[in-house]
Amino acid sequence: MFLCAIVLAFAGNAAAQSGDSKREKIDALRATYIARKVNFSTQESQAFWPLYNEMNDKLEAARKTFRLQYNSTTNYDFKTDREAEMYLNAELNLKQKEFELYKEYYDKFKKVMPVKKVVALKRAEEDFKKEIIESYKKN
Amino acid sequence: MNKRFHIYLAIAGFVFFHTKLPAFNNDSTKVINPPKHYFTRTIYLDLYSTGLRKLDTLNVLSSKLHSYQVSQAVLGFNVPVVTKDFYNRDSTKISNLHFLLTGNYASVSVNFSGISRHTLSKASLGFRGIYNNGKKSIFFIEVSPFLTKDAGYRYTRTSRLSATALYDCALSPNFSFRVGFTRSFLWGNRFHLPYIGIRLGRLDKVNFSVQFPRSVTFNVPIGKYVRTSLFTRPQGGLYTFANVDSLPLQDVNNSKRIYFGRYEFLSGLRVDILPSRHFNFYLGGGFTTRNKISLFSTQQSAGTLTSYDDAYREKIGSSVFLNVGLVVRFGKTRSVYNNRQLYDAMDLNNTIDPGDNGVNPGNGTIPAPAKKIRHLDNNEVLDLIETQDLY
Repeated sequence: MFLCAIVLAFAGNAAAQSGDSKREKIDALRATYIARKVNFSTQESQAFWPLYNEMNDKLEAARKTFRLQYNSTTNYDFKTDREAEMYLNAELNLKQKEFELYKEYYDKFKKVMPVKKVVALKRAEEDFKKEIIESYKKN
Repeated sequence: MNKRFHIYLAIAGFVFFHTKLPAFNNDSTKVINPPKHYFTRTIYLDLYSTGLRKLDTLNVLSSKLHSYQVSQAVLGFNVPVVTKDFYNRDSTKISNLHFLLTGNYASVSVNFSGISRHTLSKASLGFRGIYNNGKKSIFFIEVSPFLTKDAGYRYTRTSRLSATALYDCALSPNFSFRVGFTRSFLWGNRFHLPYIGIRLGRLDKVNFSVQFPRSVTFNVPIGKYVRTSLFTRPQGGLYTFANVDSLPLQDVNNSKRIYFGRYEFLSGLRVDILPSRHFNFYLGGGFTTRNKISLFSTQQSAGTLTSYDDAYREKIGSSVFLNVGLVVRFGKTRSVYNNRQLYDAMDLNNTIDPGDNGVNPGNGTIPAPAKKIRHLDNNEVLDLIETQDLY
C-alpha cells in the first residue's frame, strides 16, 4: 500500500518534475549571478530575496497558465478570427500581468534598497540572459 | 506489520496523493497559482543497526540477558498544512507562519540472546509550528504524542509526549544560535532539557553545528549532489517491554510490563546523495560509544513527573553501526533562493525529527549555491528564453 502511494504520487508529479528541475537550475544560476553582481548588504539581502523569489513565483505561475493554452505544440495558423483574437488577448493579459508584477515589486525593491541597486539588479538580469546564451553558443 | 499500521500508511498515502492528476494538466481554463508552501511534503525511511555485544556476566540480570543488539526502522512523514505570509505596512517584509503535520512509525528490534526477542514499536502523530519574523528570528514548536508498545503484547501500550520549543536567531548567514526547551526520550529516559545550539558557517556551504542535546555535526558539501557530515549524536528511546521472561527488577519480578531505555552515542560519517530535489538517500556509519541500557519498574515509576529511576542499568561496550536512509519529497514549493531565514527554518525542521527518534532526513531542500554557467543543453536555454523573453 505504501509503495502504491509512492508510485501514484510520483505518477502525478513526474511529468512536471523534469521541467521544474530545469527551471530550478536556471533560477539557482540567476540568483547566484545577481548576488555576485549586486552588492547587497546583509540587511538588504534579507529583505530582498524573499520578495524577489515571490515575484518570480508569481511570474512563473502567470507564464505557466499562458503556456497551458499556447505553447510549442500550438498551431498558430488559427482557423477562426475568434481563436486568433483569444490568443492575442491571452498574450496581452500575460504582458499586463507581468507589467503589474514588475511595477509592484520594483516599488517594493526601492523600499528595501537604494534605487541604484534596483537598476543594477535589472542590468544583472539582462547580463545573465546574455551570458547564458553566450555560454550556450560556446558549447 | 499489523492492520493499524496499514491504516496509518493509507492515511499518509492519501495526504500525499491529493495532487493534481496528469489528465487535467492541459485544461485551458485552469489558472495556475504559485505554490502555497515553502516546505515540501516529505516521506523518509531510516534504517539503523548496531553490532552484537556481550553483557557483564557478574550481574544476575545481565547474565540472564546475555548479549545485546539493536536495530531500528523508522518510517515518517511531514506535510505542510498551513502556510501564511504576513506583510508589513508597505509590504516589503514577509514574515511567515507554517504548520506541519508530522508522523512516524518506528520499529525497534531488541535482541537479548538470553531471552525472547522483542520488537518494540512507536507510532506518533503530531504537529509543528514555525514562525519566521522575516528579520532574524524564528520560533519553533513541536509536539509529538506517541504510543509505544511491545509487538504482540497489547497491554504494554503506553502513551507519551515529546515536545520542543525553540527560539532561533540568525544573526548573519554564517552564524545562528538557538535556545529553548525539549522534552525528549532520546537519551533512554524522560528528560526535560534546555536546548542550546550554535551554527558557524553557511547552511549551504561548510558549516559546524552544535545542537545540544541532539547533535554535533561538521557538514561539508561536495558539489551539488553530495553532502558529507562528521557527526556525534545520541540515538535511543524509552519503550515499554512485556516482561514475559520474568526479569527480576529489584524486589519486583512479577510486573507484566517494564520500561526499557537505551541510548548509544554515535560518532561517524554520513554521506548524503542528492540526485534531485525530490529524492535523496544517505549512508552513515561509525562507532557507538557510551552505550547504555536501562530497565525501569513501571510500578515504581508511576506518578513520576521527571526522569525515572532505573532498577537496572548497564554500560555496554562499543560497536560499529550502520545507518541508511531514503527521503522522498513531493510537490512544488515556493522559491527560497538566498532566503537565509527559510534555510534556517528548514534546518530546524530537519534537525528536530518528529517522534523523537534521532532521525535527520537531511537538508536536501536547501538549494546548493550554483556555480559557473556551463554545460547547458538546448532545452535549458530554450526554457530560459521562453520564460524570460517570448511572453
